[in-house]
Amino acid sequence: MCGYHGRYLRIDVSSGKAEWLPLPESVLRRFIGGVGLGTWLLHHEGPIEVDPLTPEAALIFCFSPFVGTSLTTSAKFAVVAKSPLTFRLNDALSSSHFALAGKRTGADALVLVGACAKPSVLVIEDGTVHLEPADELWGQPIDEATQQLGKRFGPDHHGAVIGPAGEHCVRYATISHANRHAGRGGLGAVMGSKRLKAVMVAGRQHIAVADPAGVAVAARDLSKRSFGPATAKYRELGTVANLLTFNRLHALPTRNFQAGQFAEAEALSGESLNEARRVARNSCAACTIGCEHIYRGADGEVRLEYESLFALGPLCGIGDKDVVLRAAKLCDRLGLDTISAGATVAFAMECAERGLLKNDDLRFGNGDMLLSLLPRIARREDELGNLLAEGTRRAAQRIGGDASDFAPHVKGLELPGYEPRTLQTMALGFAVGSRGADHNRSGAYEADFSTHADRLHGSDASAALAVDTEDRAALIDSLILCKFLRGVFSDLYAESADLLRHVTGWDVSADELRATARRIVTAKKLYNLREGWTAAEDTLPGRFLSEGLPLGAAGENKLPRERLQSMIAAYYAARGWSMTGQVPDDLIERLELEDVVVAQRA
Amino acid sequence: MPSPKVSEITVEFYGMPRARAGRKEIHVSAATIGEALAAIVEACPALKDLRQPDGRLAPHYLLSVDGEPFVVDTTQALKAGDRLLLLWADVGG
Repeated sequence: MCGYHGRYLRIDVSSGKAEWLPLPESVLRRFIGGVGLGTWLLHHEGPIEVDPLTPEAALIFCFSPFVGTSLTTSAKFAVVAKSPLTFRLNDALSSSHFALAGKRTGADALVLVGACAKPSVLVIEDGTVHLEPADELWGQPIDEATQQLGKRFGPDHHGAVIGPAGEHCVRYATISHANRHAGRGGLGAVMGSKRLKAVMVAGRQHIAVADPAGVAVAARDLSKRSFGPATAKYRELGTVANLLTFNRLHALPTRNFQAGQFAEAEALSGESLNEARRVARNSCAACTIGCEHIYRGADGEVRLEYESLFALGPLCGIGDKDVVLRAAKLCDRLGLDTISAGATVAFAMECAERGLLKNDDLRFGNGDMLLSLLPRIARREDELGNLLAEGTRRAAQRIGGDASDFAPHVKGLELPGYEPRTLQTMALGFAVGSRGADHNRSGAYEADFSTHADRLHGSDASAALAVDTEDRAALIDSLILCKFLRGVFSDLYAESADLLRHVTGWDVSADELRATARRIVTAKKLYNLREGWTAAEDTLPGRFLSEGLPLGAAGENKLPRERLQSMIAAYYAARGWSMTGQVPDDLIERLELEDVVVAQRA
Repeated sequence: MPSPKVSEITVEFYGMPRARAGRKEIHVSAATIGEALAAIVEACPALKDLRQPDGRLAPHYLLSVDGEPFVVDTTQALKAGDRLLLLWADVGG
């Protein structure tokens, strides 16, 4: 088999026992790798209705057929588990040498179950497995732990590491490698619940590709295109350039989504940061884009993306770039998802201003409070830190009153930096997303920022746009390639089929990959259904459906509940699901998902 | 049909267009979107790839009048005081 090892390694970290299990071509061709393969594995390896923070839960690291090839941006891996934040399927991506070394262990995926008796490091070298004590590492921030692991294991080993937030099972803790995070949904908490500080991988098991010359030509072509206008923003400005644009379009979530514009946006803008603070630009392994922009902060250098900037800045009413840079660095070191961290603090600030929480210092714009809260959340240090470590949904339930109406989450996952009332295709994408409010599995904002949609007035026509972007994301996340590359493809499915053919030798076509993408999206839905999903979850918090968003002189813009419901119904229809979001048997058959359902029933 | 009247408008730059133009905004005289595009290129040569050979907006840019739905029709008339927003098409991410 080319492009794959054709097997995965299942490790019970309670005992250290490891077992190789086959991955037949019939599975790999239907789910490819990354998020797709991880979804299939979670169906088979994750017990039904398991609490994701118990030993029985599975934590899956998944590679892909492109990992280790010369295709630009292909050094990526997916982490898949049931989310402790949403109790639904969660997949997150990260990149660089962990992916390359992980695949060289001889496995297409690593499935971890059980829990260690004490803090440990799991070491996988060429397919052999052992556990080492991690007592001295437990409690350390990610950067310090990574440094010590580097000294202990040497340059051939690469680690996925958690910080104090993961150790304390904060429900939005990350897993980090090379300062890039599998960030959303609390996968770091799942790893922490297994008392694993790090997973170290090393190996020499290279795999063959079917058509080396074809791969080389395709890789050169893709690299060349990756220097064009489709990636220029990421390369030259970074995603922080979104802030001013979003602000101008009333799409910048501000003060816990009470406004779409922030008065201090110009001072906090990417342009201002790039002019005054940028010190370097980096890239992941095997990447020609180089999107990581590094800024100088009071606590040293820090990588900053738009999502961190919006969540730790305008969302909390903070316009001081020093505070935002320090907060971003803290989140990186503690292993906190910046989006959920910022959103949870912003939510708490509104609760306090409304008198639902008693704390005179918890106010929008109070940067000192934000900086003091992040370590308290990560270590669950006190009552407030412990409350906010649970995320906005659970915190709102405990706070009571009308807090749930303005807790900014879908299915428990906090909204990223896209205001749904002025980006209404994205609003639909948020509402129906399998992992909750998410801009990576649904890039529906792309339709809003185009001539194909009226971003202020969503309609049933939004459904096809939302389906299209979800399908494209499912394919890219399974191949795996970086989404920042998406704009270079004139026909994603046809060009991906060519790439996959060169690597695997399969006679794969664009139409087959379209079906594959639909299969993966529906497989995620089937997982959520088995875990108790109901149509009531596919919605937005009450605020977005009852309060208009101020547009200045232009009045306000609304997203009426009836409009969203109609869009969701159109989305279900476009997916071939029932009016209540169930997946019909004939669709399961057409998408060749019977084995997933059998695993579910077993 | 009478020709649209030439008006003074403001062009705001965001993201890559701002980086390339080296300024936040300019004022131009134009009767239509197409004329505004020509005026922008003349004022900001670094944005020479703004237009396709046939005068249409290049695919990696987006245009909006005052934040309203994005426009591609270069014959659309402008009126005095309009604010034309020029964005990079790859917004978000």
